[in-house]
Amino acid sequence: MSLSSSFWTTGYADIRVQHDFSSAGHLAYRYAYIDSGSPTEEVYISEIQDVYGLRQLSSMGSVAYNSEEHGKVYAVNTTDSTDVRPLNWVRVMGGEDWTNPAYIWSSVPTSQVYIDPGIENVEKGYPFPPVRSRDTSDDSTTIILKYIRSNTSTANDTPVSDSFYVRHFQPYTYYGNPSEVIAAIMLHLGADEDSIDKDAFSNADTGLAAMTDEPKVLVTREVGETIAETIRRVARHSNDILCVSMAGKIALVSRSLPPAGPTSLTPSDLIGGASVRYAREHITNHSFTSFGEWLLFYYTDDTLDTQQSRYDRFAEWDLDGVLTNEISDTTSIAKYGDIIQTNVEQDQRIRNEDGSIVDGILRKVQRLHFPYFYDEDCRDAVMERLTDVESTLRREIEIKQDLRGLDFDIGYELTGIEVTGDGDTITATCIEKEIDFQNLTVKSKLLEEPS
Amino acid sequence: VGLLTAAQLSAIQSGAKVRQVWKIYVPYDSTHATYEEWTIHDDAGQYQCVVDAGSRSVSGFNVSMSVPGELTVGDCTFTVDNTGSQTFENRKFYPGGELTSFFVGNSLSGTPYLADPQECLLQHQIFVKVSGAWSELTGVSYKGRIVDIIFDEGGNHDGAQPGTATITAENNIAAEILRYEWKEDDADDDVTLTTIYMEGS
Repeated sequence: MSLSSSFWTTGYADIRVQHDFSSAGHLAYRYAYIDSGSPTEEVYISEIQDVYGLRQLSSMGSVAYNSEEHGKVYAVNTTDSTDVRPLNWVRVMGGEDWTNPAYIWSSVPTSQVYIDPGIENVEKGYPFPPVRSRDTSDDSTTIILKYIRSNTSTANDTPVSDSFYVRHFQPYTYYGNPSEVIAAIMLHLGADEDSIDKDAFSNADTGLAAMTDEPKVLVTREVGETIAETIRRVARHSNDILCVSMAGKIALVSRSLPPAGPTSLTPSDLIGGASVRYAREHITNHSFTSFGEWLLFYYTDDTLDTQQSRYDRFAEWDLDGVLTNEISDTTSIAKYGDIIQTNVEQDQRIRNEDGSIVDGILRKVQRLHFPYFYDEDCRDAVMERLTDVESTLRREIEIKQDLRGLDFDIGYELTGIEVTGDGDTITATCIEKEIDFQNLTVKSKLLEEPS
Repeated sequence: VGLLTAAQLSAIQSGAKVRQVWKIYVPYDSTHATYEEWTIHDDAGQYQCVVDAGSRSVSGFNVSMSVPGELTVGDCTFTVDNTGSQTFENRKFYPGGELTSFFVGNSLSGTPYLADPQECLLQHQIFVKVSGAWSELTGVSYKGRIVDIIFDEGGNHDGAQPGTATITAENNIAAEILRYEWKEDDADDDVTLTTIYMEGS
């Protein structure tokens, strides 16, 4: 697969997740007086989504209510009202006009979120990220997000008003492989397609689709984060190289199908010699990789099915389980030491389902976390490179050429390199370039790619 | 394979002539709806204002898991003779106050528009002589926006003081999008589909 010509004109809009992926289109039904004797109403505002093999309860959405309303929101199994699933990462957006920054209202998973208007005549929205239920083994189970207005809860002791409404609010969200998502973000925000290296993105798309499991990311805009930060994070969900090319175009350059540079590079192609060093800093040979937005974890009781329990518990004692996969190269560790790749390091306490902390248990957790993946197969496909390439000691070669050095750009793969001085013929990827237009010379830095 | 043709590679290797061209695109007015193209330097042309062609650096991000590298914005810097002696029809970059402008004739309205340098675009091209004709090295053909000018000394709109100006440009993506911060209202807020009214009980 590659990105079609229509992708650059209209197709990219499909990568931005629209309402058919949200709670908005899934108002199911409602009924009144579920609680005998008290005026309580409920409405189902979402239903389960099956996204890339992972069942998710809707996508980014929100519940809003008028200022007179009280109620609570929770996820529940429609076939078993006692099967209440925890919501996590419920975020609140407050203020009079929906423009105040969102903040974490409750980062501790809870079985339900009580809504208390608090401020008169101010709307409040409760945006939520996907509420996940890893429940693929039981398709008959339908988890829905439910809003109940009530005057009977301990948190809600005032009369209900005459009406309420549910309002949908969906932060910009993108779903696709990193090539599709980065290109879509750039185009959506107004990038001229002439400023994008379309061939590079299309080639990267082809390479990603051909992987063992195509890495798909679900990305939501984070207020305050720059676009550069966002697309860098997305690119880290692949092995492809993100750059602004020599021509000043944004590009995602495929690793698995890299554009070909020179197939021969000998001293006669250079001005002066080549400097060669062993780039030990590029070695990583061990990781505990996780994915999704599970950043806080908690104990769940055994009434949940096995799969669910495994997921909920992983951070406490399942570091090499399904969610956190330990990957290592024992040969590399023996030679170069244990070099752990991580981007999350935190002290973590075990929590009960209600969010309370289990006494006396604290552990330091180091993880390589992929926040935009929602499928372990995506993560594992990307991480294959750790043992194949990243755990090896590679050479970094710096060369200086005349304008023949313009024959390749960032991410291009050069083969037949014979400038290391030891008789080796190697393959390498270009990672840096400096073009001197005054003296018409080109310096390139190449990183060895083991065959 | 590669960005250069076999003929270009061969020509460069044999020391063929190289030609560089810089163009400034100046808006006719503040709407930037239309730009006027000015060639300020052409090695094979009349105007040759560039005294130092400068350099451009690019690098990749995510080059390895442990050292991802940097996402550079693809800027380029070069220096021009800003005295007007190498005149591109006596146009120059004017420093100072409201007159920090690139003074161009406005053929649409008949009155000149004093464009700030940062309103102008830059194009840089390289050609090599192949079989008697100029062949562009398109893989490095660059178009960006001017983001900074450093004058070697103060000047004024009326004068033609000696000196140079060092110009930095970066691509439009970097200037306009990559540094943009997501805002709270970067979202869909759709009441129509989702507003439901329930009668009170």
